[in-house]
Amino acid sequence: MALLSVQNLIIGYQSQNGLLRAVDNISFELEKGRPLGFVGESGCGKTTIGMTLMGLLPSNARILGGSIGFGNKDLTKLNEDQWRNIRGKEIAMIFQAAMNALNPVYRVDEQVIEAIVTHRPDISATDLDKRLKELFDLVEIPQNRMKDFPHEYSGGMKQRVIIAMALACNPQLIIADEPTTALDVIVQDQILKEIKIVQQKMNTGMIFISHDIAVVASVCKDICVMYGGQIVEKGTREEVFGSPRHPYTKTLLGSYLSLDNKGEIIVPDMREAADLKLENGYCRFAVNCKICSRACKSRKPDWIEISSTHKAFCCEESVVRNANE
Amino acid sequence: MLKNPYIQRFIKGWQIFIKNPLGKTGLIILFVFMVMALASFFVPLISPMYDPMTGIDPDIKISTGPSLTHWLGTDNVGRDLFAQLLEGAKVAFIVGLSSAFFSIVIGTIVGMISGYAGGIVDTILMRIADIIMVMPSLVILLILSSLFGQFNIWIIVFIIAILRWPAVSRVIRSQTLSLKHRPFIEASMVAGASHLRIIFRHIMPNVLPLAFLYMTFRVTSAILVEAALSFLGFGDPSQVSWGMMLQWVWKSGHMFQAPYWLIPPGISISLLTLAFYMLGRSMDEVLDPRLRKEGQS
Repeated sequence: MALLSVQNLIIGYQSQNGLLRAVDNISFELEKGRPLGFVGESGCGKTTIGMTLMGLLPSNARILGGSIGFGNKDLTKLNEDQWRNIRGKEIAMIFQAAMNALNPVYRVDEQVIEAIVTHRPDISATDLDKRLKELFDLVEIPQNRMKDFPHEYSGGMKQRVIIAMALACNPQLIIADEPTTALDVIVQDQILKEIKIVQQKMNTGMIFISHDIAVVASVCKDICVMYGGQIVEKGTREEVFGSPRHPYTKTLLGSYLSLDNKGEIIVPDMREAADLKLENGYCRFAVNCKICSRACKSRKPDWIEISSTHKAFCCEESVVRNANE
Repeated sequence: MLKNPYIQRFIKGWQIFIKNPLGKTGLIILFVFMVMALASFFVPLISPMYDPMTGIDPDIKISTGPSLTHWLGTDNVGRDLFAQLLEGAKVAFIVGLSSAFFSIVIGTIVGMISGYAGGIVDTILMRIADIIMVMPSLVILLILSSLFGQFNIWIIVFIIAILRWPAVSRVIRSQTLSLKHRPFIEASMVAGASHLRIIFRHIMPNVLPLAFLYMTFRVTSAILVEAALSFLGFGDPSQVSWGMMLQWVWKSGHMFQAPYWLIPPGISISLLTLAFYMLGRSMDEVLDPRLRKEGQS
């Protein structure tokens, strides 16, 4: 049985312009040991999914439909107290290590054990100390730095501490929301290796959210590509990045910064933002799609199966079937 | 030990603070008054005649000027004015510091809860704060004491604190609003921390420096309110204070006959409130780097 099973999830934001469906009818399953990556541009709903799985949606957001099966619970039906029991203990989150990711007035070790102290207040001091040492070994920070303050750490070390914080209670599921975005490429590489090793050692489920295709490709085995709140293509890493089928995936993979071409940026023509108010089920990429025909605007797209794991959400079956387009 | 950011911050802040002539002057004045307040504990031990409230020089029946036995002279029943001045310093510190302390405790808690909770809680707490903020504390105290008779000094302290927290809570609230969205708050939320834990463990240590800054300004206003109240005859009759001394000099008709009686408490009130104000201003500079001049770090 899958660790996490999301079915037809719809999340809406109440805005001044009416209800926006930031996440529109999303379904996916997550197995232990198969990290799942979400890629897409800013505002495509990746972070909203992460926040929903932590039960920390902003006050103007609501779950409009669908279910999130985690173990034998449905996460959409929990109250705040039940959520507090799950957060940090069964589902943990790795943040982006920005300037203020750690509280400046506390020592690093005090912050790492926050989740343990919260969920197991009766833990003995020796057990706590033992666990703390394990965690620092796991993320490869020397134990003599445990008592330091956050401002004495480098950016990469802070990110390791944040990983250690997430792992403190041995969670079953880790959500990593842009964990390497604030770091330079060399540290980024080290942290990604760290995340991979930790994930394999502890055999947890992992959801990895990033806009950086290379980062997602290096960590995840399964990929979901998102656009405007919809998953447009899903499959294994090799399938999605090796032979992209959906027009948006092709566009995304085709946009990059070119260094040889006088620094020119090759970005495909994206004129309009996705219309999040569009009725449930219609293709939101249609406004920018090159192969879009009139039919796309009048009928709902379907999941087109390319292999048992690889699927794309599109109206034009012939285009999707043809890998060379 | 030296690595502790509190200590480091304190040392760095102290260096900036001591460079500022305003802060230095304030600190020196404050130190003098502190010595005076401490001395008030020992003066009655020298001779019961020097007790500020009950000590009467048996040889003196009218107000006399400065002499060797009475440095500042005596009042009209023969009590030593210097002893009263020292006692007044002690009372000013007690009234100022304790009512400032109570008001920042209330203000900080209300401000943090209001800023953190937001929404309807925020609206209700801040409207209450607005209502209290526009009440003139002296007038309220006058009305209350004319209704219920003269108050004990601690009740006065408490009423001043109750009337003076809203300004603190506004400042703490705005600081909390900005802290609330820092990633470390989100991180502890994700770790499963409860709201109370987040407020008192993660937000409070970060707003305390600001609260202490506001405490120095509250001290000033509390001392002034107590002095005004006592001068108008609504103070605690069993307690000598500077305001009380002024009330006695006026009531006994020595206003223009005994400058040695009138001037010292008046100057003391001005100097002590000025000292706290200067202290606050230069602490402000420590906490807000934008107020510093070029070349200071």
